[in-house]
Amino acid sequence: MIDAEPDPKSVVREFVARLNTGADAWALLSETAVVTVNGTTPLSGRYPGMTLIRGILADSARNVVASLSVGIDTLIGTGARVAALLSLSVRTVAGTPFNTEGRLCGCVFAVNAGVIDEVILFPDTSLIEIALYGRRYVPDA
Amino acid sequence: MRDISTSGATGDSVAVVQQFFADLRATLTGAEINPYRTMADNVEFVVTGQTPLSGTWHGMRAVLEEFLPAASPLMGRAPGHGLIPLEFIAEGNCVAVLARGRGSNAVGMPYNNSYFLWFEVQDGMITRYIEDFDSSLAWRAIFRCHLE
Repeated sequence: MIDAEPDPKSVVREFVARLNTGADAWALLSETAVVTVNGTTPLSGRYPGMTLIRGILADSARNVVASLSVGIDTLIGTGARVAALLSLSVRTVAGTPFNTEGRLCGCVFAVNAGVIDEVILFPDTSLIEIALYGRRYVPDA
Repeated sequence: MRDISTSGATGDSVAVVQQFFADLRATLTGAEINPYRTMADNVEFVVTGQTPLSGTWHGMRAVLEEFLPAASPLMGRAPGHGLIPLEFIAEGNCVAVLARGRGSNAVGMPYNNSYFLWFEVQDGMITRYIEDFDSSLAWRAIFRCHLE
């Protein structure tokens, strides 16, 4: 008997659940997964492979993020690619809450054979600069 | 987590969103049509971020009378500008689109952003639109600010 592959949305739900509980979310990413954080923030970029995802993205995030909570508002998709509206709540290492309004951000996941191959996250980049890095936007002279 | 409405077939919802992009393209090449004609009168129109143009507008009238008059003077107009959809992910009445934009600010500085656009469709009209993008880039290019 051949085991059916898990539904891609179920894999995404499990990934988010593990992020929230501190369980091993990384186990649901393939070794060759690519994570892209949209934008121009210090956390933004394309991270191909677990070495870069854990060694650069996750480690850089730990410098500013003390705790992370991810809520799923909506998941759609009938195939391997799943689009999500997520709410990201963060407490910074300085104790400041991030996204107290619970605003939603977009994310796309690609799931293959029960593991996540790709994540493309569209966070609120100006909020990252302001709340996580303590920066401000000043008019050019 | 919200349930997806299955009242609208996925293909129909995608067709409405594709028409929205076609209308935007046509407008940018000089066609005299309303590029927002696929948006419902009661649309919820969300622009994410912390910029002066970020917010939620309830109803097409608010979009036309408040958002667009504030946004339009800040944007440049030139051949080749536009929003190019790259991928559609849809189910029922919801459609997510990954897109790239090519544009400029009011003085011609390039403003090329990447977008996650979320559409909800009811009865052939867009009732919810969320524009998710690099708002930090918008601060610098459109509002001509820098980070300190």
